[in-house]
Amino acid sequence: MAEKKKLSVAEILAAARSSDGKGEASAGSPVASASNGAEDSLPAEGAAAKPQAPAKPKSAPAQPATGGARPSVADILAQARAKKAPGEQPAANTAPVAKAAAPAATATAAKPAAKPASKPAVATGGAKTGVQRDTASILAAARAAAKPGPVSKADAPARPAAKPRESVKPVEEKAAPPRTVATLPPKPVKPAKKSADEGEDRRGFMQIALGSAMAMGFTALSVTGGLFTLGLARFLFPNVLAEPPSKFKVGFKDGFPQGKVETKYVAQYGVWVVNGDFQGQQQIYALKTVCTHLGCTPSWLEAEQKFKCPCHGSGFYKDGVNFEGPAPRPLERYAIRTADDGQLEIDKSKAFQEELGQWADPDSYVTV
Amino acid sequence: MAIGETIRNSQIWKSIFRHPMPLDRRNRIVVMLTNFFLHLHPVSIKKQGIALSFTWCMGGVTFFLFLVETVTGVLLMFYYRPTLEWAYNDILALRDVTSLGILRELHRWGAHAMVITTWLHMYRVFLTGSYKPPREFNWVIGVILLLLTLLLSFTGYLLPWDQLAIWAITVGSNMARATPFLGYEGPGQQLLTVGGIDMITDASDARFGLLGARFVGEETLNRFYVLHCIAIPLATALLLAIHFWRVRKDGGISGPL
Repeated sequence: MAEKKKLSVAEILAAARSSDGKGEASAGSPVASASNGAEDSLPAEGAAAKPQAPAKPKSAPAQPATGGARPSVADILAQARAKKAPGEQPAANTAPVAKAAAPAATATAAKPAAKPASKPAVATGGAKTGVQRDTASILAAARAAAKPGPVSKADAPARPAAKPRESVKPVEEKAAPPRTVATLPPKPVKPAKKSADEGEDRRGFMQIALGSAMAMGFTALSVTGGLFTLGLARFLFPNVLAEPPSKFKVGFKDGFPQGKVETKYVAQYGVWVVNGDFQGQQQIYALKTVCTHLGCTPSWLEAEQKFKCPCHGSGFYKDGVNFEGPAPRPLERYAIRTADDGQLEIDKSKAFQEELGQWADPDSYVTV
Repeated sequence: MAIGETIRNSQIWKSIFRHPMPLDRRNRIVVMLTNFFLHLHPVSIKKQGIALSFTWCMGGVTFFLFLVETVTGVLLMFYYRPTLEWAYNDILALRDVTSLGILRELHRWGAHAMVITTWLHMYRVFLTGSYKPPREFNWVIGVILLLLTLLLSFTGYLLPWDQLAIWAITVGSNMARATPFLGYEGPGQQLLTVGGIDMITDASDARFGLLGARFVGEETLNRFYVLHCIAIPLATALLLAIHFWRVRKDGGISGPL
């Protein structure tokens, strides 16, 4: 199996031909080899046919790419045939049917068609063995001359000797110039790169030096950009606010008789100071003037004894508990205490929510 | 017409218009390609591109309204001062004493219409499947443009500084309180606590950054004015350019590819 891979199309063809009852040697006796050849060719054909299949696609794309470096089968055949024409003509006459079919196929349909056409010709060797140079042998010779490329990469090192090429070379002269064109350029280029160690070192140094400089530059740039963005975000949060202080005094207890809702601190501080009942206990507490629905400011309606929000109609009792409208919870309280001088002091930095049980906190009210 | 001929042959005319009158097909194309304003539009478009029944022209109407808002907005800036003292009075003055103060109403109606046409444009794009590859990223840009349109509307709403404006912004900006991590009532707010001190409070959260204060006040008015007149329009104009450019790069205006 390993041998199969290493065989090029040319070798396979050559091998098939030599095993085919020595077609060329016994060219003079077509009938005799016909009986033997038919049976002999079968095993050889079976062995040769398989490697040929994978090899075919390999050589096919190479033709257009190298553009003449490796002539197409049609070209090879045409050239070889033109040279051998005088010697071949009489032979072709002996097997008119097969011969006529093969060139026609190669000329018009190029390689893929030519390959199958040549193989059957070998298999039915009986009719064709009389021909000195049939399609397959021409192919083998021409292909060997036109630099048989390595079948696989693993194969490449084993190939360079390639003596068959030297021996068959004279047969094919037209294919030779393209071959040199194809093989020469790649070889000088690669050694040139590897041999110039100094240049590579210098280039490598420059790549590292410049690359690291670029990396540092972009890193610095992105860090600067990130810091700038952070600074920009910080810039938008002022350190000093033109707002009233969050701690303020509202006077003595006497100013808040029972049942009174003091509304004069609403505009500046957003606070109602109320002397009312909560759960049976009389307290003075500071209610935050923010509706718990969407944040509007309700109004204290003295006649109806309730806080009413103008935005969406939420209503709150005097103690701040919601009873109508969309508000989901009671108003909030601010911290309130009796200061050292006896005045009531409200601290807006602390809020107390009834639904969390925080109104029980003594900081949230002052007993009367 | 000798005068017309003289003008068209003059150095000044030729230095501005590089090509003769667009009387044949080639010159029509060349004139479009060499004119800054005309080159924004493709030389040729699909028949469907001008079929009103297919496009509704809603993208074009939206862009037209953006231009209307830009022109009338710039004019209004000559008469409007974003301060507590003057904001509302200037709006009243535009209504009562300024000649052609109706420009303010045009600005307002145009803003309402622009929101509507943007929705209708997206609805049409959705119905015709014009959001599908390769136009999917342009849909994303369109969604961002929708958000910018809504933000323009939102920020502009505060500027008259009447009760409706103040409370609408108060209510609207309360949503920012519930921003995850960055709103002081949002989920995850307590995670950003350093040494027992909350980093996200009502004076340092997303809502505060938007309002510039704990509640809607003069700082808010100023911030919304800058956002409304400078920041958001610039972003919108940039994205509009990309939006139109990609319409042409992604296979032309609507229609099957």
